[in-house]
Amino acid sequence: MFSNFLTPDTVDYMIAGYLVIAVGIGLYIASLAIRTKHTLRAYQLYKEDLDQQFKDR
Amino acid sequence: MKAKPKVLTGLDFLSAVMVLIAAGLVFFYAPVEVQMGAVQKVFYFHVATAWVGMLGFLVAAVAGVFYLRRNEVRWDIIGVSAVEISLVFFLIAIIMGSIWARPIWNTWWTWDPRLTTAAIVELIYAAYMLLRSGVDDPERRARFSAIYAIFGFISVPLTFISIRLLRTIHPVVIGGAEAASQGGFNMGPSMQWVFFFSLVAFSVFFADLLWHRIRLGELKSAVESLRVKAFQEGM
Repeated sequence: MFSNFLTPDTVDYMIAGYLVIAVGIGLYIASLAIRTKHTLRAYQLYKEDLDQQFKDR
Repeated sequence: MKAKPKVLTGLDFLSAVMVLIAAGLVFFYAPVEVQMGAVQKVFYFHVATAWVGMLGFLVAAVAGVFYLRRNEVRWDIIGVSAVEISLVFFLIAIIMGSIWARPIWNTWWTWDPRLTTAAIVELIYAAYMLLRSGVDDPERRARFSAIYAIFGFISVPLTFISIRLLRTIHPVVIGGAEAASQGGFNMGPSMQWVFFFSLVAFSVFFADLLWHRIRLGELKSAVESLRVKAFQEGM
């Protein structure tokens, strides 16, 4: 028995799908890191300013 | 800000390793499905990202209930953190599904019950983020978000059961196949193994991201407190 059914070549779609997940998650992790860095900087600035003001008194 | 806990560093490592192993299993261990070819491998992470999306919306609804009962800001932070992560993962699941659909259904998108309800879920939670940003008073914002997350969650099980109740071309991989579905397949033991490992790997990854996002939320809350204090001190 021979089957003339050929498995379609859909590798490009698979690569596209996994690129979407890699880029999407990569961007989210980068955004999380950048926001954390900026918020930490803001926290330290406020804290230093407040500490300085209490010292000046 | 509290120092990063060692458990979180361990979780970072564990989640990265598990996701990499899952990717390795998908590409090098899972068999190529005969009728669809390599694109069927999208299935493993497509379902895993959709699962993480739904899990996060559930976490947000539970956090909403806890916020309404206890009125503690940390539950609001947990809720918004879970929704933010789930929005990203659910969007990725929708896009991956669309890429899978193109060679199998011969279209990028169709207004099938599953696709339509999934798009509605994404829009409901995108609106959650937009509406949140429009409320200045933190307490009102948290209360509104909690109620919204609880009612918004109704859309999630509806999406899950849509392919089991309605006539759809979206395959039901677990729990039987609909006659009209296109792209359905029977999972062999190796496929099942990769599938369930991917689900666990992404669940761990979600927990890791959620923990990081909650820490960011707490830091933002601390900055807000310092800003108010600085304002009161006349700085």
